[in-house]
Parts: sequence; C-alpha cells; structure tokens
Amino acid sequence: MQPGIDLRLRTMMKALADVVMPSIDPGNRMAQEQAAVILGSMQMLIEQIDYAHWYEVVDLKSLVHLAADLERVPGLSLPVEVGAAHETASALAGRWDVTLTELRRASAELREAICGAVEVAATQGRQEIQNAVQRLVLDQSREQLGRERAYVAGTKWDGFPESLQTIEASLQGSRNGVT
Amino acid sequence: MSRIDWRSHPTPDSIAALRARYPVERSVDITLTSKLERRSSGPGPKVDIANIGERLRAFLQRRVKGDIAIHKLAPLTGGASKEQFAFELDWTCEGQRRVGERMVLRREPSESVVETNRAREFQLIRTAGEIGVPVPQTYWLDETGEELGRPSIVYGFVDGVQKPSAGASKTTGVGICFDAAQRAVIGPQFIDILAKIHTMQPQAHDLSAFDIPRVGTTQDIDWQLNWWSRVWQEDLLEQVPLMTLAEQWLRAHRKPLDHLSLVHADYRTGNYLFDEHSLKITAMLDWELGYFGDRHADLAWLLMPAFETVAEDGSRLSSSLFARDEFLAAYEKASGLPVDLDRLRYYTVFVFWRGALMTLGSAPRAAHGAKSHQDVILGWFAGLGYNLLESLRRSLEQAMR
Repeated sequence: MQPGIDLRLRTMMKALADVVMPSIDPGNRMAQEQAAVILGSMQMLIEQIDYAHWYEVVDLKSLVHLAADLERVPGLSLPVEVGAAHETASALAGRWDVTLTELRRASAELREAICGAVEVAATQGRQEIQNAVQRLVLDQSREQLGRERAYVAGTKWDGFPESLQTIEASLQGSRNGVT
Repeated sequence: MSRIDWRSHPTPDSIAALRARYPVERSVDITLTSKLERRSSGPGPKVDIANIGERLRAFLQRRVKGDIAIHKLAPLTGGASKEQFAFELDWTCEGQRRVGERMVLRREPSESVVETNRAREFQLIRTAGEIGVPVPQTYWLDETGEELGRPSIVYGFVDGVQKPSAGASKTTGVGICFDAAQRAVIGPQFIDILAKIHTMQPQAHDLSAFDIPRVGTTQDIDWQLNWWSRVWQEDLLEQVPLMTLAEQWLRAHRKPLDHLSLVHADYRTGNYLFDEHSLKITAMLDWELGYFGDRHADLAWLLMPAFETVAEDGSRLSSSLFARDEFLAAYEKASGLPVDLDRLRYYTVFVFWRGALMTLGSAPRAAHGAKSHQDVILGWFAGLGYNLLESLRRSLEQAMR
C-alpha cells in the first residue's frame, strides 16, 4: 500500500522542517523547542516503525520466560495472577494476527503479576528465594534494557555507548528473538 | 475496569488505599492526593495568556497598595515541569514606586513530570535567600490555586544564563559544557552554595510546610521511599520488575540519618544561572523537590553519569565541573561534613530509581492524560528514562555483589 507509513512520515518531516519551523516566531523559544522535538520524534518513529510488531512480541516473550523462571523457583509461592497472566501472554505471543494494543495489554498484565511476585519474594523472608528472584529479574532486565535503549536511541540520551545496539541487533540477540 | 485502568480513573477507595500504604509528609500527601482527585477531569487546559493576565492582575491588586500595571506577560521556555511566565510590574513596594520590575509567575500544570507543592517551594527559596544562597526574591504565593487557576508563586526575575552562549545542551539543561577557565570560577561557588544548603539549621526559619525527620532514625528515608513509591504506583503506565526489585532493596538497606540537611534534590549544572562575564552564580533554581534528610542524596544526584560531560583531555566531569574525587574532597572541606561512601552507594541506587520513576512513570502519565503544556517533551524523556533504568540496573548489580 502506498504511500507507506514511512513515506508519509518523511513528507510530514519535510514540511515541518522546510515550511513550518522557519515560520515560527524566533522569540517563541518554547514553540521552537517543541517543533525540534516533534521533528526528532518523527525521525525516531521512522526508525522504530519497521520493528514495532517484532519488538512487542519479543518483549512479551521475554516476560513469559521470566514468569516461567519464577514459577520454577523452589519454595516461592506465587500470586495466582502470575499463572493466569502467563497463560494468556504465552498464547498471544505465538500468534501473528494480533494488534500491538493486544500485545501491550498482555505485557502490562504480566508485568503487574511479575512485580507482585517480586514483592511476595521479598516478604517471604527466605534469603535463597530472594537471591534467586533478584538474579532472574536482573538477568531479564539486562536483556530487556538492551532492547529498550536501542528503541529510543534516537533521543541521544543513552550514556552507555559500548553496549548500545541497533534495534535489529537487540531483537536478534534476545534469547526470545527468534519467533 | 482492569487492575491497570484504575490509575486513569482513581476512586476515593483507591486513593485512600495508597495514602494508607505509603505514609508521607503532610504537604506531600495533600499534593499527591489532589493530583489523583483531578486526574479524571480530562486534559489540562491550554495556556490562555489573556486569562492568566486577568487573574494575575486581580491577584496582585489584592496584595499591593496603589496602582499596578502588568506589561510584557509572556511564556518562558526551559524546564518541562512548571508553566513559567515573565512579566514586568509597575507597583509600589514599601512606599517606593517601582516601574518595569521584572518578575516570574511559576504555575503548576494539571500534571507534569513531578507533582510538587508550591508552599514548600516558596518557603525553601525564601529560606535559601535567608542563609545567603543566591535565589530569586520571593514575593507572593497562591497555595491552592484559587486565584491564579493553579497553585502558583511569583518571584523576581534574575539575570543570568543557564549555559555559555556558545554552547549547546539538551532539554532540561543536561549536557552543558564549560571550558577550564569557566570551571575554575563556577566550580568553587557550586560547592560553597551546596555546603551552605547542607549545613543550614531549619529551626530559625518558617518551614511550616515541611515535616522535619529525627536524626538517628530512618524517618527521612522512609518518607522518601514512601513518597516516590506512591508516585510510581499512582502514575505508571506499565510495571517494571527492576523498579520493584530496587524498591525492595532500598527498603532493606536504609540507614538511620547521621546529620540533618536540607536536600535540594535537583542540584546540578543546568539548575543555576550565572553571569556570563563575571561567571558569578546569580541564582540556584528548581527547589520544588527539596526536603530535609540525608545530604548524600544530593551528592549522588549531581555525580550521576547522565550529568557528566567530557573535559578537554577526555576525562569525565561530574555535573560538567569536576572530576568525581576532586569534588568529594572539596565538598568535605567546604561543608565540614564527611562523605560516607556506603551511603553514597545507597543514594546512588535511590536517585537512579527516583529519576527512572519520574521519567518512565510520571512523565508518560502526564502526556497520556494530555495534562501538561510540554507533553511532547515529556514523551521525549523516555530516552533519559531508559538511560536511568540502565544506570539503576548497573548500580544494583554492584550493590548486590
């Protein structure tokens, strides 16, 4: 289908940069700053758009793996929400005919359940359980943050250039990246 | 309604549950509760300069004897937290006619990257002035927003620049670069002012909007952890397991307060103005997050890698001014207070956690509800948020070894 989303974004960026921004009152610094951020955000959207579905699927699968790992921690009694959210997310992550909104909703539900499990681990008191949960969360976070940082690298805020990947590399490098 | 949706439409019961779970200072509780109570009211109103001008005129007329005239009321850029407007005022102050006195109106948007209390900010700026810290002259406070539409303060305009005119920086003033000659003059002032702030005694000042924690207890950090945990739970659009883990770690490893300090809580380059010719710091700004507690929170914040720049020789400069160890030694000398490296490590985790929850929780929440005049900037903060979250992960990995 033409024009594609990326082409439409590029035409909007050209109009913004060539026509709209030069017309902004030079004394209105807030308008100038916001226009520059809009332009940067559109550039970032172009970089993200090809990977949007892939990203959400990998994100959800990564959380599914974390939930499964938590369920295997000996002696950890998980809230019932974890099992239910895990089951829904697992089913959704294996499908291609889903919207980004559905994927994000499943991810949000699973995140909520996992955080509940982390709280339970902290209150159950046994140090070996807490240590196991900490290790699992930190390991999953390292991988997750690799993807998230790559996804928003266009903001130029990242402070760890030695480990900053391209979006594609971060998705391929994930243990859940191959769908 | 799902469990996640309640944050967009908080009920009296859900608000009461949060207040019970996270006890905080009284004025913080009032502010956060008010935020939740108006969340369902829809997008924040567009900035209407004419309406603000009318309100400001009526507000000032009730406080100033004689004729007043407001000129050149216009929005100021800088910062994504509060709406700011510059104006000139003709008025009579203590019998003296002042013409064209430049002032700033600082007003809360409906929601923003941080929800803070104007009475606290007003009292802290005034107190800072009383102890010799360069700050704007405070004039008037509309604590409830009844008169100016939203809670607001009016203070004097201060001349100065945030960064050298030849330099560049990112939004919020991060990434400002100074040359060696500029650092040599600005750096010592930056430390002396911080020492004044950390060693001030609250008893001699009107700080009625603050609860003062007791030394030798964990009251200060408990209030802080509850404040920011509550904000995270009120504002998040999606949970982050690492954030939950960090909160648990912070609660398990807190230490009793060793010395009561005023904590600025956003003390860094980018949050002061200086005269570009004399290089004298003319005003410390952004007091809205200030509280009484452990000085190491300020030290950890200003030493954060996100605020580093690179010197001419390639070395890293904390807050664009110092090598890290050079700063810590100079701070100890100026303040007479020791730097406890264990506490500094603890507060490093704390400030990354707090920064991440503002940028990945409150900022997208405000943008989600179309609440702020800077929604597009708040969305852009995600890049900073994931940088902070990665910093949090690394600091936790180190702390848990």
